[in-house]
Amino acid sequence: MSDEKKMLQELSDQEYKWGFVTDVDADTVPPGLNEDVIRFISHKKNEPDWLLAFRLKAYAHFLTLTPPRWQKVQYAEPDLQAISYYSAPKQKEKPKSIDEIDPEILATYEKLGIPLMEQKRLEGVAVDAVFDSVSVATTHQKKLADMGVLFMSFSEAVESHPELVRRYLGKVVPHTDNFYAALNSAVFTDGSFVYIPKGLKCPLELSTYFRINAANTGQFERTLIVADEGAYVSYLEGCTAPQRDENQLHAAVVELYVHDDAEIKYSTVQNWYPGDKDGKGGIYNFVTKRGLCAGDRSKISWTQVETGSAVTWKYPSCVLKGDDSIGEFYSVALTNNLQQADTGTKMVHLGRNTRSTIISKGISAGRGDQTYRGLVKMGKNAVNARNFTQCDSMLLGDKCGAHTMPYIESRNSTARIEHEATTTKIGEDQIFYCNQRGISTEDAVSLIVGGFCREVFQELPLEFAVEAQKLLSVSLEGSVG
Amino acid sequence: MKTASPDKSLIYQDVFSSGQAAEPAWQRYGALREQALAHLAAHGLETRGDEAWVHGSAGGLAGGEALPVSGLRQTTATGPAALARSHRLVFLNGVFAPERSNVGELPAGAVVQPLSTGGETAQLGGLPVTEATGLVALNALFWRDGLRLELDDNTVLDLPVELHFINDLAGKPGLVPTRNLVQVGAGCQVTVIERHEPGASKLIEQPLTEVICGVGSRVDHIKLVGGAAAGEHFGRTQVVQQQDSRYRSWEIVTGGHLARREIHLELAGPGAACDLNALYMGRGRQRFDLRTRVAHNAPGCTTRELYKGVLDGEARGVFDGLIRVARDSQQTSAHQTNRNLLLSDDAVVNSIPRLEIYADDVKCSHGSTTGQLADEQLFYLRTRGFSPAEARTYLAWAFASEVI
Amino acid sequence: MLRIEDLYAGTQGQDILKGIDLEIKPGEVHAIMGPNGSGKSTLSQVLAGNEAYDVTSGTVTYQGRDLLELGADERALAGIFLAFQYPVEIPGFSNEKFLRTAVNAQRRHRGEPELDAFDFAQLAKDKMALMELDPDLLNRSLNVGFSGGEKKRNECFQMALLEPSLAILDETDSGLDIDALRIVSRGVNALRRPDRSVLLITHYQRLLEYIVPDYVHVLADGRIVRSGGKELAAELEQTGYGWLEDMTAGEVAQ
Repeated sequence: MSDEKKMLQELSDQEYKWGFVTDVDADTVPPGLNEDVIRFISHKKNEPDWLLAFRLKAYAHFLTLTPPRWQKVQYAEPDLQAISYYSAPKQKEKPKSIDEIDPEILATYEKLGIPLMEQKRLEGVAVDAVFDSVSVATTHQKKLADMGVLFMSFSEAVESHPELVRRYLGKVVPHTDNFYAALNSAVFTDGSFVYIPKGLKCPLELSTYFRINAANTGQFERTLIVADEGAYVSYLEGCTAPQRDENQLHAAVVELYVHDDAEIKYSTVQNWYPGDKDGKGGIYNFVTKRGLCAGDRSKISWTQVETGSAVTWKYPSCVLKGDDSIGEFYSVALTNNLQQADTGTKMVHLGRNTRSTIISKGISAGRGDQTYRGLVKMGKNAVNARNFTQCDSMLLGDKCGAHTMPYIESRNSTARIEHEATTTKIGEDQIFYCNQRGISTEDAVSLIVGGFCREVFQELPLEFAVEAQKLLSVSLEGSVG
Repeated sequence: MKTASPDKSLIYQDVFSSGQAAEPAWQRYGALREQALAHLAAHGLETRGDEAWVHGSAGGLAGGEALPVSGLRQTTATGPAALARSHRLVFLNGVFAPERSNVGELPAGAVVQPLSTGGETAQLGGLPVTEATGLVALNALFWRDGLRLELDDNTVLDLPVELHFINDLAGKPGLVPTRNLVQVGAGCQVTVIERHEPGASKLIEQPLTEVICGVGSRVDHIKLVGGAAAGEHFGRTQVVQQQDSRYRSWEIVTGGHLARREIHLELAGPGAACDLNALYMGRGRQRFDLRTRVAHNAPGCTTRELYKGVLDGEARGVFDGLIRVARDSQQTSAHQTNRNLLLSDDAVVNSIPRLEIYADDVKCSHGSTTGQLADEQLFYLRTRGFSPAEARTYLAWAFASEVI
Repeated sequence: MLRIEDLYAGTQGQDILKGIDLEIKPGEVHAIMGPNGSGKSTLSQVLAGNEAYDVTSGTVTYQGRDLLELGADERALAGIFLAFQYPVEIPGFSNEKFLRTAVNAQRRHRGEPELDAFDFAQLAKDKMALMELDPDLLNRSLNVGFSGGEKKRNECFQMALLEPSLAILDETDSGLDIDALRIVSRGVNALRRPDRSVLLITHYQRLLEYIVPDYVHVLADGRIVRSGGKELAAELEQTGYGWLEDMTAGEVAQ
């Protein structure tokens, strides 16, 4: 405990530990969004014609859309013309080995706790590091390739496995899906691509670490993960950004495609810069994440710990198409100071005997405002489908808000849906009880909140569960007086 | 702003403006009607696109064919059976029918009469929860009659006040809005029963009841929408509760081709409690839409909601409930439950139980379940000699009986 | 150990304790008895530092320090332990983590090295056996879903782990069957040492057959109206608390 405590103390002394800026030479296009910029990105990345066509089609559709306003968050609309849509660290060629990467960038990841150098790598975790718009390094690539696992940056995949990318891109999140998905489809620059071959249980955790560095850029990455028949992979996404006064837009798209008997476990520890105490700056996190359980007995499990961003707007979803497929969503979201989050999930049951579980834990502190919004839909053919939803909110202080908005629809009489939600606060009796055993109020709050989130934390890979608990404690600092 | 349908509302505006001179009933409450007219002119009917219309249907209102009918017609329709003992008021096509009514003896301090008689009351339409919406404006523009119930402090009505709304337009389309006002003082007790039968196809009835519960009062409010006819029903109840008052509501909806019922309730004084129950049982192509909006605007108040739906055939049921706990409404206790039973694969249910909470010292929860009859229960009854059909019927009733 | 002088305290502007005087020396076991509403539980809450109660006047000295100056956690670290009448539930927070955190807070305070999970597990195992508690209880959420008896035994288990200088047991015997009472008493008796004191708060004399007190005090209407040796408890068992009303009424008349 003392180490943990000391660490917490250190972490909390700096308001946002990951807020530094790295000084690298970058190739950045001037701000602005138009067809030329899209052509420029595509050209810069040496893309095949079909991909440029995909982008332009998405852009044409994007022009017909208006930003969504139904979510329960308030913010100044980002000026999409003021954003630069391409920023890449300058380097001569794609680095052949880690040694060729700009030492500044390596140092950045080191500082973030994600060492990329061969000798320091995390055991059992392969990392794809995305710096601003492009992937700068992927670790353990050889070991993975030997097993037939493709884990590389999206651009690399377009070059080396265009047929796979073309087969799956936009199949789960079509470019017509929503405003930000359309924007992403038009301007995405990089991201991660994963393909797990038939029957392989990937022994390494795969991880992508996103870092926004440059000012006035947005991050529009695209992640595509395919698990072929009987495959399994656990994938983790982490993210941070420098502390800047202006808001930055992060509009990613993540697509998961799962074949028969395969499983993808996708975990996110989201810690984008949340803005300062007065709500200045911070990331707008408008992300579309969706998985398709295409095959029978397939499974997708989303776990997310959301502590960062000024405004979060995302609903990692599962389309349960295959019979007996399973969707899970475990979420902890914390809003402190002036953070706002409208997050939840969608479980669309199409196949027979499909099952879904939703566990959502929302913590509001300070003047934070948070909404759980979820959709559970049982289609006409979802015979014997089941959903269970548990949505708990905890309010710390009397200036925050916690809202629960489930949308439930059933078109099949044999389907069963259960939704439960509760709202609690930390009781003064609980604090006194801890105090009486010699535990300080601050520790008590952090431990009680940790207990509140336990069902979700236990879904995270072990090392990230510890990380998540720490993040939570730091994010709670000063919220209870 | 909202994608209004100005053309339809224009029809209503024209009807009102041209018919005004000929309709003495419409000349009463002139200020209220002017406001309604202004709202319709500015916003239209707003019967779609809006949050209040998620999964909802405006039915014949969207078409604008059903126009307000004028005057009492002869009808042989009798409506539902009356209670043996009650203060009974009957309204035929929205107008008081004295020959069928029997208000009877009233204690001192009680007024029970048609709203069309006596002087205008300032309370009407003056409730804070009367947000201007197209439907409210439509009602405000065209109602002719309804109940006026006023109780002085500490008045207790032992017998229920029973309202029958009988509609018969001989198969013609028509809109029948009615307006009821229930205003009870401190320490009063009363039970109000509204019986609605929407009438034949293309007939739209639109009752709006305002309830003001004085300090420490007890109001029980039963609303029945039944009958076999295929008309439409758009009912709304607006309630404001003062300190320590208790309002209990039962909405039983089985009739009409389309029935939408809304409760807009404000807990305005500390310690007030509301208990809202509903049962909607649909079959064929019936469509029932039940909405609640409860605002906790004072500390120490309690809400309990239990809404249950049983849907067979191709029926569709919507529950959309929102409990909003304002900042500083501490020690709130609010629990919202929606349970649905689907008896057919062609039936559809939508459930949106929502909590919006801005105070931290609260106990709030909601739950929603949707499913079919439990196989074990069916099996158990069959081993005791019930036929499958009987077993299903009994179990469906058992499910529903929690509300009644 | 503990000296209470002319203590007035209460909640929501109303005094419940109206002039308590009490001294507990090291090694002594004191029992406070009295009817419901006499202020027994208030006394325990005030001594443990519950901020829901206000001290309006009087002093409390503990090991030579002004106890009222200290926060609840500081009092705990100084060796005051309260076995709650109604132990609090914390969902998701495991009993094990709670206790390890509490034990390590004590050890840190005393400048001792902290226990890791393995050392703690060993320590806990022994103490749990003493209280005849199912080891599985450690992994469950704190007090959540515990039976009444399990909660009380868990309180005594905590006391055994934390080894307080002054243990206050607030109606720990209420709702316990005879076996559980025997186990709880064994835990308390195991703790008795010349440098440790115990304050037992109870409604019934039954507990005092198992934990024999040095002194018995009768609390009525916020004041100690009688003090005596252990025989006083037996006398109370005979006479009940009815005589108190006459006595307080008589005093008021004077």
